[in-house]
Amino acid sequence: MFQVRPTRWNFPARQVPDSKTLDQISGTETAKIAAVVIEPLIQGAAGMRLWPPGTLRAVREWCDRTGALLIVDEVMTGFGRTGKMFASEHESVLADIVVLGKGLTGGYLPLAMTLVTEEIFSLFDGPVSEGKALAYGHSYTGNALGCAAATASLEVFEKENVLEKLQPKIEEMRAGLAKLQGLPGVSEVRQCGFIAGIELADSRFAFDVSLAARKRGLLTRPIRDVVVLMPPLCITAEQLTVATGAIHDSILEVCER
Amino acid sequence: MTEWNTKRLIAADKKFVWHPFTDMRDWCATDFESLVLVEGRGSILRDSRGREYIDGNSSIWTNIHGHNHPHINAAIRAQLARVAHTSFLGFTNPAAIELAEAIVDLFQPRAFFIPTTARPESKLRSESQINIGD
Repeated sequence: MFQVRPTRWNFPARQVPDSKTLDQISGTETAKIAAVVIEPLIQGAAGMRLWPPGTLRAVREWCDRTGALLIVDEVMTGFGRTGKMFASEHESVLADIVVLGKGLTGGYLPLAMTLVTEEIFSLFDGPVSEGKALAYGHSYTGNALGCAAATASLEVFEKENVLEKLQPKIEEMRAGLAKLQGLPGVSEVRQCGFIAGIELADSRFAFDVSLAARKRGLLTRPIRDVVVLMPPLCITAEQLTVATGAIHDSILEVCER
Repeated sequence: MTEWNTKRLIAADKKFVWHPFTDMRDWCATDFESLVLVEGRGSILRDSRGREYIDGNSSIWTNIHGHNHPHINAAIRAQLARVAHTSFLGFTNPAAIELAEAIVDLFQPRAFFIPTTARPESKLRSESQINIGD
């Protein structure tokens, strides 16, 4: 059930497959848990795998009961990608720590951001001599170019009603993906907002399909056996049709031979 | 449009560059054509040979409003004309302050209408950094 990999991050860490598993951890063990880290709604690099609905909320409630901190990784899911500004909003969850990156600058410059509650901040509020200051940072922390791009990107959300315009495109993506269901070599088609993962029978297929899609005017990159489609939110309906069509025809080309 | 020497670029890439999460033996194989991306507009990317593609994974899940968006470009240019980078250790800058305020504002409980485990005190603070991994 658990994959215990105590040495990977120099502190004990466990991977849990679902929120129910958290309840099965003994009281003495629970008391030692500092935090739960989760990508809300959908796991990205794990292969665009969706959490069962309610998982994030259940984990939030478990953290509230046990005193563990909830760390939500919105690096991939943030900034409209799931249909709302942040994926946590779908389950009305406010984390103790939120991690942002990738889309923060609109994809223009490499900036990341960590948000913490006032409660956590207050624990670091004191003199360095007491070991209170945040002993973490980078030469390029607070980079002005990145921050200016990020603020501008937030402004575009408002100025262009990006989230509103996105909703019909999510449905158009759903319609395009439906045509991939049942194609040879396709194991499962998954979608979370404007993120899609098309799981194929093996990773060589996914690599070859991505390469074949290139010839049809679509660039993407697989995660092992999963072909990824997550275009910019500004993509037009016509381009979206070309994109799902390119994947469709590439699957036929690769998986039928 | 800039003319690119694609052959030379690819040869130099294969000789000098190490790409992340990439099977470099496949990449460097003589029959593998590396795409050299040189321009972008909206959801479209163009390679050094002038061919156009839809950016189907938002350039590794990063791009939101499309490439070359005039508002974001202008904001970067305006900042660049003032200063590109200054230390955040012991100093601050208007761009970072403005962003921190705007982002924290998005995470106020009212934006998330927390129904059950209300935490009105949970105002988030931000700590921004450059993260090479992202």
